[in-house]
Amino acid sequence: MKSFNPRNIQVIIFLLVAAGVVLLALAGFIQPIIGTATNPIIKLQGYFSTRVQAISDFITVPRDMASLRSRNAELESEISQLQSQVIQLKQQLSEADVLYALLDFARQNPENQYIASAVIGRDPSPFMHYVIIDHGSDSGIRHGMPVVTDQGLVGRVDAVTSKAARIQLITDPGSIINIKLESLGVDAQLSGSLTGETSLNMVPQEVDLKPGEIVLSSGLGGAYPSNILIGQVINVVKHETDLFQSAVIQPVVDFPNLNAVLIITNFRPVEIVPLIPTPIP
Amino acid sequence: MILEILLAFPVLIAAYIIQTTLMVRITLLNGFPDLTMLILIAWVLQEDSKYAWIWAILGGLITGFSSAIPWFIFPVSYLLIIIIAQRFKSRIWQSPILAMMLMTASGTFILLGVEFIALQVMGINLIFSEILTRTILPSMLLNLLLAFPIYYLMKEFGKLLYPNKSV
Repeated sequence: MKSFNPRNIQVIIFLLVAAGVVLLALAGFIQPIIGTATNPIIKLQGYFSTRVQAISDFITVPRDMASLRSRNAELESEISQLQSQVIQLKQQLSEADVLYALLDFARQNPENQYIASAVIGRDPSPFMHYVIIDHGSDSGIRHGMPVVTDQGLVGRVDAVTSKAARIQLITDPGSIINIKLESLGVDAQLSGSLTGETSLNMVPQEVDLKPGEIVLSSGLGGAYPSNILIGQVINVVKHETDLFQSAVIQPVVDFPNLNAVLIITNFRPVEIVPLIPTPIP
Repeated sequence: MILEILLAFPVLIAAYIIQTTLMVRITLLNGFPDLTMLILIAWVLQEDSKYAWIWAILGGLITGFSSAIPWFIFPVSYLLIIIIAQRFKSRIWQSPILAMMLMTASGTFILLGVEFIALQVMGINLIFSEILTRTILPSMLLNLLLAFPIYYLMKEFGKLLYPNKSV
């Protein structure tokens, strides 16, 4: 009879133990034992892990901070560039809006020829209501030419250099314009003032002038073309003892924010001074 | 010395540009500050300024060129202000700030007063009480507010121009 080899016995015992462990694991008996055995290891691992992480953070975070700061600075710089671009684009959009409005006006009034010009300055005297534009005689602008916007009448060219011109606004104290009241068909005079208010004068007492009446240029005197919108009556001043009644006019043009204008180049004002009779001595 | 005259050109042209674009928008009622006048007064009150009268004529011509007011009104007014400021400088030289304030107030009145007379002569009727309350006094107040910074700006400019002297 062949005796058992001790090595074979060890293999058989090992296989039986392994099969027993597998059976215990499958039956769920081994999990508490493994848990109990691994808990201290996990705790120790956790302890080491947090310490290692802390050390790692200590070493690596300053480098990250520096890179983050650098990135932050880059982004801030980019934001400021984009903001300036946005402002620039908004400004261009605003200018484009004004130019489109002027272009629309020019298309709607094809009988006139226009030169569009930007307002580049104002009169340095607080008494005078004048603006300076960036086109002059080189562009065909001449003294006396009427100036408008898409809203209405602005004034007329008062002085010209080769590259710039000075415009007298209708709000200037020295400005007097012949106008007509749209629905009443009555002629009168519009004058400016120190405060920039425009007022209507020389309106006969019998005229039934009411707030809301539209004021247009009459063309009389030859200084301005006729039928250009000027403004609206907002307040009527009527005294029984006066020869004429007067009124305060709200101009349609926003003079404080005037940025661009159109100069009517095919209108030449009529020089009426030679026609005014002089007294014979 | 020639540098003082040469530098008047860029300074006064810059002042004119700022005046016609920015200052005219800083309004109080109908008044606004006059930067050129403030620069001229501040410059004449500096100890070593010698050619302030040339500055005044130049500043007046530059301003008068663009204004609808007759061109000679500004040089004459500025020159008058400079002459009076020169007197102030010699009498109350120990307190230039006081001289600056006094000259700013009186300079505003002189300049706008002369302009008012010129407009009356031109046939533009303005009521003096109205321009006093709506234009002259508000302009004076705005000029007084700007007088301090302009004075110190011109003082620093003087130090740059005359580094070896106490301006």
